[in-house]
Amino acid sequence: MSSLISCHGINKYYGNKQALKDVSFELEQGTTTALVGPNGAGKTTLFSVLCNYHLPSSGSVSIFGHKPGSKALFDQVGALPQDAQLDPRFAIKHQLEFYGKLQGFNKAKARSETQRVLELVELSEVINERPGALSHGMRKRVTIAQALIGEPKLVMLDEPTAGLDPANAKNIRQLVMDLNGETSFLISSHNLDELERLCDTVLLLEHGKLTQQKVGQLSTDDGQIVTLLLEGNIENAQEILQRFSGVTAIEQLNKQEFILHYSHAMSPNFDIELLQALRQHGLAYRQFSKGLSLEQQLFA
Amino acid sequence: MQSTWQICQFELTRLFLTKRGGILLTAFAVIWFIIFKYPVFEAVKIVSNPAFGDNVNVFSDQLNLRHLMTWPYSELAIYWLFAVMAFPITAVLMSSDQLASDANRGTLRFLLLRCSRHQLLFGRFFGQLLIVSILIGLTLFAALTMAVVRDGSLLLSTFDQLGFIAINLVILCLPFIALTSLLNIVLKSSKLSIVMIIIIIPIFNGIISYLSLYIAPIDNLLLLLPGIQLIDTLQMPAFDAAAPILTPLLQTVGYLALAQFILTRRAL
Repeated sequence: MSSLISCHGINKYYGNKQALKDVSFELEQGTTTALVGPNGAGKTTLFSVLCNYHLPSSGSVSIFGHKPGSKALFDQVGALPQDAQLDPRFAIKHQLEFYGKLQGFNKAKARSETQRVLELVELSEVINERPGALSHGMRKRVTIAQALIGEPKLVMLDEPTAGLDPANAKNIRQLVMDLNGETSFLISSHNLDELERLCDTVLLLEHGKLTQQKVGQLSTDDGQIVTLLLEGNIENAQEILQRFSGVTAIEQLNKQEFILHYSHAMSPNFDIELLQALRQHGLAYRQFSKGLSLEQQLFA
Repeated sequence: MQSTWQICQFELTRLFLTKRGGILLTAFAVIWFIIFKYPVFEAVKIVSNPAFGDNVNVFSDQLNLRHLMTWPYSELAIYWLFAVMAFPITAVLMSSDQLASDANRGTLRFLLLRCSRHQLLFGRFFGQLLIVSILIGLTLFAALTMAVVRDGSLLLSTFDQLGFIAINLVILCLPFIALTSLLNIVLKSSKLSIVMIIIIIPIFNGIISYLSLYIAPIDNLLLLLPGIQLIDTLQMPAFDAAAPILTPLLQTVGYLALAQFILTRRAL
């Protein structure tokens, strides 16, 4: 696979404060990557450097082999910057068509592209409205639509579902899943459940430092772990699970949630047998997943 | 080049299709209606009055406007008198929000995914220049129409004069628009940009002029301020004379170069 984003030794200072500390990573095309970290960790700064909104104090960045802001990237990279808003004085159609024309489309193509991206976010009906006439969630979806103009190869989304109602957040997640593969995504979010479902790579930023880069299927990163969420409050659940064949260790996260470590050699069909055993003991479960959740992997 | 032209065209819609643009255009139209209805309409009487030059001399010893009495169309002479004073301010007001509100709102971030910073700067600058040029053209056409309605026989001989007026007015406005671009980037506020140019710069002008009485070389600092050649432009005696255009052109290049330098390094 060819390189999508390549960062080497990125440092970013705001006065005396260092927002990014020697950040280096490589991402390949076709990946959907999560950018996670606590508030103030430097996620938006890194995002801004990648979009050429901020210049790094030192280090090098390339996207598809070009520097951010290069002309070659204008029709290849789309982005939803955090808190950026469309001009309230112009209709959605007018602005999105203008963006299309800037990307090199003629008037007719810019118009059809505007309709296409608004259909993707299920907002075709607001094409003639001004941003001020839309709700916060609708404005957010329109700005996501602008990121998709021209079918860019890379789309960077900063908090794409923040402020959206559950139904629309689900639609956006579905949209990302549908486009996944032909389009690479870099998504910054605090919603780990969402990222776990969407992403196959994780960049964790803490205090400006990139402390972890997970590549591959997160939920099956360790095949000898099962995360189990039981229904109801069962007093002796841990005892029952401890006795189960193949279990080597149990971590109880709370009254209902357990992490089971097991030996694949001792119990090759562990997951199937565990489900059968739960039924035999009358233990109902709400969630059963292989491996650790993203939250457990990053912050346990 | 294509993107710069797209941005330039979009500036036209910003003036002609938005509420703010409509308010500015309405104010502009009302002011120029008054100018046309009274001084320009009465131009022949005003310019042919023997006291015309004397009255202006009272305003400033250095201001000699007697050459206006020789212009074929008095309407154009009076138009020129008002336009030289009004269009720099008009240019500042019209172009006061080239980048500031878009930067504060984050709209520039959508644009920067599709064009470079210098395309944005020059696209907006040339868009504003185009707007001011259109307004100059419209008002000049109105003045010419009034003149021709009064006396159509001089129309053919006045084309050179029309070109002279239009080009010099546009050149006069150039540094004001460029300085507004620069201040938009530095101050990130359209209102502060207007305040700086209309209020602070005349104050700087006064301070520099005062200090130059004691330290003569300080006088050269005036060359940094737009409109410093305004009086020279106003009293250009003949249409074929070398117009004082070098200063505004150099100022424009200087302001835009500085704006470009800052914009390419600024976080947006």
